[in-house]
Amino acid sequence: MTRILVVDDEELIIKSFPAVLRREGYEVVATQSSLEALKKVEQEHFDLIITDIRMPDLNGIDMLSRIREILNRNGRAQIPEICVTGYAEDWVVNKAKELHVADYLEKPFDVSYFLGRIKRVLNANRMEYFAYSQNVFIYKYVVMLTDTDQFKHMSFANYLKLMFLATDALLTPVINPAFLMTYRLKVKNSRMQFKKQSAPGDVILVKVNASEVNVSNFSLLYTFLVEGSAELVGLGRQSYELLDLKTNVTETIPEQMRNVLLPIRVEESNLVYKY
Amino acid sequence: MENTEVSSNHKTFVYDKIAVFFKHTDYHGFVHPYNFLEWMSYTREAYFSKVCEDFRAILDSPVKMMTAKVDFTNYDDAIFGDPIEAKLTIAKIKKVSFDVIIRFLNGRTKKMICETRHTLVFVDSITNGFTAIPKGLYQAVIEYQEN
Repeated sequence: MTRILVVDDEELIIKSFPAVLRREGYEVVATQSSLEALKKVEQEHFDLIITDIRMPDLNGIDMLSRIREILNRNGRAQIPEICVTGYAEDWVVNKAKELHVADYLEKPFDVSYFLGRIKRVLNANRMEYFAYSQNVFIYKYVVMLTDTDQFKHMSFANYLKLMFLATDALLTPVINPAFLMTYRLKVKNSRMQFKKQSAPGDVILVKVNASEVNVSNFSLLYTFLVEGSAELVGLGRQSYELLDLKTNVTETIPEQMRNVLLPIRVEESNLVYKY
Repeated sequence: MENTEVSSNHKTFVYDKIAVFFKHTDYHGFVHPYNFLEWMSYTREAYFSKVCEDFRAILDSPVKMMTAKVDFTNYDDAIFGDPIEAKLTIAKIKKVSFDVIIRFLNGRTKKMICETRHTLVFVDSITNGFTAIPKGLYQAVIEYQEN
């Protein structure tokens, strides 16, 4: 069973988070003390740590650094971390980024959003197939025999499919049944240029950035690279608009979706590879 | 059924063997745009097989046809059971490349659902350099070139 350590000094959080997580089938250990959390990590196995930042005895950032040291010292694998905070001071965000924590959430958020983010981090840890890193979302894909055609390369349609897969992975925290009851995310335009062929066994990294995040539409930019060689395989671009499912009229992108897009938004002129 | 329409300027290849099944639909019951890319492949390959007599020989030769660029734009939706008609024309024929334009029409609503355009380039797999469009193919596609 997936074991999650929750660290937060607020009594309300330390009761509510575990209740929600247990309902989803996770095993949860909760503590209000970051020093106590260090002991727990030393003695027990966890698949994920969810921690508050501002805590009285040792703040969340310092606690995570200490936990990493403990794991390193004992030759144990690192545990993915999600930081949760009720305030968004720059130093907190920057510190979390410096530490490359798996995810960072600002309160308040709704339960489905919270669970979506957790699921994504846990999946990323298991399959290593997507992660946030330095303002880019990375989706990893191993080219399979079923992707290739008689020319022994991955067919172009599969590259385009990869764009859709990467987009779905990016939006996992937002795309849930509640969202889908209200909204429809429609692809308006999709483009791709191919630079190099790829063969079975190649590991493709799809780096996703957002651009033109407007009121009801946004564009995603995709850079396809071969892992290891960093050779450019192709470049893609898709534009999306959000529609009201009932009226088919454009809708304002909800805050949750904006929160996924804005951390990876770039000026296209700053990208190494431009479409 | 595949057939060819002829306008005053050029021919259009029509492929109407496409229908929407459940596997093509998304969460909301609309055709996912990814399917148009697959149907784009079916249409162009049916086209080449029909108009180019030596297409199979070209495939067996060192000359390889590669998709260099794809662009598609969605206009309207299709749902389960809709018959889809793909209309193919050619544009920008150059020495080593040409563009294939495919417009998908919904047979139920009579509206254009999607327009795709992709660029094919020809490469010699021995030298890895660009090579001229094979003669048989060139002669076939020129009749389908839009102005």
